[in-house]
Amino acid sequence: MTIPDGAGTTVSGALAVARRAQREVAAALERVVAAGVGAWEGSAAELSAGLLRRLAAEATELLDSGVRACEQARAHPSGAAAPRAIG
Amino acid sequence: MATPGAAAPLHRTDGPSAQRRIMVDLARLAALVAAVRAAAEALRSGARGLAWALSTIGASVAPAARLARVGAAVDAEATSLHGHLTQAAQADRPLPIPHARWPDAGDTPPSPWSDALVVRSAAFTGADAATSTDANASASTGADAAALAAGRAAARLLAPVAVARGGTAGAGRGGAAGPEHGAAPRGAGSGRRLGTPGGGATVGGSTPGSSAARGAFDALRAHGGQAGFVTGFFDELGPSGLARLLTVLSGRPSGPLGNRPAPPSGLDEQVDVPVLGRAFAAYSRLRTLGDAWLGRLNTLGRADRADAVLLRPLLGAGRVDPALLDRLGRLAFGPGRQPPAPADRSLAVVRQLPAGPGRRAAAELAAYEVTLLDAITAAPGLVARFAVRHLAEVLQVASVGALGLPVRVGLTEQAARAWSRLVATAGSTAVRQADPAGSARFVTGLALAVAAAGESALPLRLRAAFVPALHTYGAEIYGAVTTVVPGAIGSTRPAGPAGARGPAGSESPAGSEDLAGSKDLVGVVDPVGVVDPVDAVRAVPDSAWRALLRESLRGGATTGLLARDAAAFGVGLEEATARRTQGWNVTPGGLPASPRALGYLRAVRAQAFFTEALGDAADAVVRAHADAGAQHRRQQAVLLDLLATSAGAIDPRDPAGTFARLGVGVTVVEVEAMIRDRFRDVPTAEARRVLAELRVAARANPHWAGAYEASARLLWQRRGSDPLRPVTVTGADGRPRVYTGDPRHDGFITGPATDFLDPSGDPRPAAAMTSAQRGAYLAWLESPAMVANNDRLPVLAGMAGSAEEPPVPPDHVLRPGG
Repeated sequence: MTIPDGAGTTVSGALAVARRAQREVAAALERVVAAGVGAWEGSAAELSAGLLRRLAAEATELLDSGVRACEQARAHPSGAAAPRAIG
Repeated sequence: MATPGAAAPLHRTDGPSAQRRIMVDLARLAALVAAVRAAAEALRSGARGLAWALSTIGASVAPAARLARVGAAVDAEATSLHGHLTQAAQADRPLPIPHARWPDAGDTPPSPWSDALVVRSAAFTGADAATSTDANASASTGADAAALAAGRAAARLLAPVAVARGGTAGAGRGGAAGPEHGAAPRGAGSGRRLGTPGGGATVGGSTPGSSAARGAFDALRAHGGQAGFVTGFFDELGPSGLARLLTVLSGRPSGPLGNRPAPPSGLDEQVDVPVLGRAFAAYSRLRTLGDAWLGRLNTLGRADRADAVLLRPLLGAGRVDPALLDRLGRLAFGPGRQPPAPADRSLAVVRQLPAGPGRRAAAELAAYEVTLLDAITAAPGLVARFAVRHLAEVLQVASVGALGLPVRVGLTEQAARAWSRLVATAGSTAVRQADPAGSARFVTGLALAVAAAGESALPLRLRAAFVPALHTYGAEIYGAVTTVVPGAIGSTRPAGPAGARGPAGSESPAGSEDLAGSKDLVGVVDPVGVVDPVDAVRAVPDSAWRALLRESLRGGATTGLLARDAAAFGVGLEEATARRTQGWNVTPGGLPASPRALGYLRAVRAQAFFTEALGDAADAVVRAHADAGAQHRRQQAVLLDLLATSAGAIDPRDPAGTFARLGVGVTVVEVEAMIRDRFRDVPTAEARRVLAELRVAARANPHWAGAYEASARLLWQRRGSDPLRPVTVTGADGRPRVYTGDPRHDGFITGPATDFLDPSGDPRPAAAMTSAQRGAYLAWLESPAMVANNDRLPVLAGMAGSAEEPPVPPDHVLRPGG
C-alpha cells in the first residue's frame, strides 16, 4: 500500500488509509473464501479452513478497531494527542 | 468445503494431517494458494498502512503489529498449502472419480498404536483364512452374518482366477508358518499346477470364469462399505488367493515359466484395483494381518514367504491399518533403530525383499518401497515412530547420494523424495497432535542424529524436510536454548544424576560424547513410549538444535519462516511477561531492575541463537562448495542469497521489528528452480557482507543465563541482610498479586515434590533436582520478585546489547526478484 504524501499528516488522511487497508484486506479475504470452495477436502483441509477463518476474523477485527480509532480521532480532534490507555 | 466438480481431476495426497484421505482439485487448490498468498500480501500492506494511520492520530500501533503477525500466519499457511499442492501434483496415483469417496473411511477408528504393536502381534491365530469358514464366522465380531456370507460368496466367484483348486493343502500348512524364509517345503504340485499351460486357462476373456470374476468385483464395489462383506470376502480369499488375484490383475505371468503371456482375466486393473484396495484397507483394520497371514501372501503355496510387493497397488487406495504398514515397513526396510542410535552404520537401508513373480522385480521393488513410504507418511499415528527408527540410515544414505558419485549408490530419486516427504510429515504439527509421544521422540532423535552426522552433504529436499520439525517445536526449542536452567522440567519422575540412568553404554547416541546433556534422553524417552514430550524435547542439548537449524538453513528453503519462529518466540515472550507484570512500576521505592528484563534478555538470546545458526550455515555453504564446479558455485550463490535475505531482516535486539520485516522465504522447489535457472556465476560478496555484519551484530553475551542464576542465588542467600523488595503486579485475571521472592510464600514450592531447597534453605544444584523441582526452581527464578530485585540484570542486559547497531536493509530489497 502506498501512503500518499501530503495527505499523510492529517487525521482525515489516516482515516482514508485505514479504510483503504480495510477494504483491500476484506476483498482479499473474500477471494480466499471463493477460491477455497471445492479446492480440497479431508481433515487437513478442515484444519486449514478453520485456521484461515480464525485469522480472517482476527484481521477483520483489528482493521475495524483501527478504522474506529481514526473515526473517533476525527470526531474528537483534541483526543488525538491524549495519553492512551494501556492494555 | 463443497464436493469437487465431477470434471475436476482428483488426486490423493499424503498431506501432513492425512488422518483420512485428502481429496485435492489441483486447479482450484492452486487458485487457493494464490489467493492466500495475495491475502497475506494485502495484510502486510494493510498493516503498514494501519501502522502509519494509527501513529498519525497518536494511537497505539499494537493492532498494526498484530495485523502483521496475522499476515505472517496467513503467509505460512500459504506455504503449507503449496506443499499440499506440490505433493498432489507429484502423486502418481490418480483415483477414479466415481470411487473418490470411500464410505468406510471415517467409520472405523484407527487402531491404537499400543494395540497394534503389543496386543495384536500374535493375536491372529487363524493359520490362514482361506478356507476355514466356520471358525472365522464366529471370530468376526460385529460382522453381520448375511453380509459375511455374501462376501464369501463373492470371493468364491473368483475361484477360477484366484483361489487355488484343492487349496486346503495350503491352509493346512498355515500353522507351521516359520519366521525364516525358505524353510518350509514347497507345496506339492502347486508350482507345477500354476505353471502348466492350463493353469490359467479358465480365466480367459470369454470364459464363464471371467464373467464370474466381473460379478465378484461388481459385488465388492456395491457392498465394499460393509464390514461383514469385506471380512467375508477376504477371509474366503485368503492371503494366497489375494496374491494370485493381484498377480492376475497386474497382468503378470503367475508361474515359473515367466515368459508365457498372462491370460486375460476379464478384469480391468485401472478400475478394479482401487475397488479392491479400498476394501483391503478396510479389511486390514478389521482383522489383524500378522506374520502368519503375510507369510502366506504368495503364489507359491508357501507359508513363509511374503511377496509384499504384490500389495503395491492396494496401499495407495485406502487407509491401511498402521500395524500392517509397520509390519510391511519392517519387512522392507529392516527393524531400524531407536532414537539413541548404536554405532552400527550400514548403508543397507533398503533390504531386498523376496521379489514377487515377474521379470521386473527390481523396478517393482523400488516402486513398492516408494508406495509403502507414502502410505506410512499418510498414517499420522505411525509416521513419526517409523521415521525415528530410520533417521540415522536416511541421513547417511542421503549424504552419500548427494556426493554425486559416478556410480549410483543409495536411493533412487523417487525413494529419496519419499523419505523426505516422510521426514517432513513426521515433524508436522498434525502428527504432533495425533501422536505427541512419537512426535517428540522423532524431533529429539532428529536433532541428535543430525548433530552426530556433522556437516553432511545432504540433498536440498531433505534439508527442507527438517523445516516442519523446527517450526512445530519452535517454542520448545527457543524456550530450551534461552532458559536460565537447562534440563527437563515437566515430569515428576526422579531424575537422579545423569550417569546413574540406565545402561548408558548401550543407549547413548553414537558420537554424542560431545553433546553434553544428551544422556538425559535416556531417562526421558522411554523405550515403551511413555514420554513426556516437552521433557524429551527440553533434554536435547543446545548444540544439537543448533546443528539441526544449521543443516536445515543450508538448504535455503523457507529460511524466513525459521527466522520468524525465533522472532515470534521473542515477541510472544515479551508480551507474556508484560501481561504477567502489569502495574509493576507502581511499587514505591523503585527496584533494581524491571521484572520484564529477563524476558527481554531471553528474546534477544533467541534471535542471537538463530543468527549463530544462520552464520554457521553460511560458513558451511561456503566451505562445501569452495572447490566445487560451476554448478555448485551457482548453488552456493543462490543459497547465500537466500540466507542473506533472511539475515537482512534480522535485528537481534528487535524481535517485533524482525518479525514484521521477514518473509516466509521460498520453497525447496523454488530453490531448485533458481539454481537451475541461474546461467552464470554471480558475485557473492554482498551476501557475504550482510551475513558477516549480522554475525557481528548478534554477538550477545552467551553466558548471561549462568550469571543470572548465580546472581539470583546470591540474592536469596543475602536475604537476611538485604531483604527482597516485594513486587505487586496485576495478574491476567485483573487482580493484584504480591511476589515476595520467597518460593514457598509465592506458591512455587507446593510440597516435597517441588521443594528445591536443601535443609539449609538454599536451592540445590539444578542438575541434582528432579524435573518437577527444576520446573519450580525455574519458575521461581523467572518470577517478578526475583527478576526485579536482581541488581546485576542491568549490567547483563547492557552486555547482551553492546554490539554496534547493524545496518538492517529491509527484507524485500534483498529478496530475489524484489
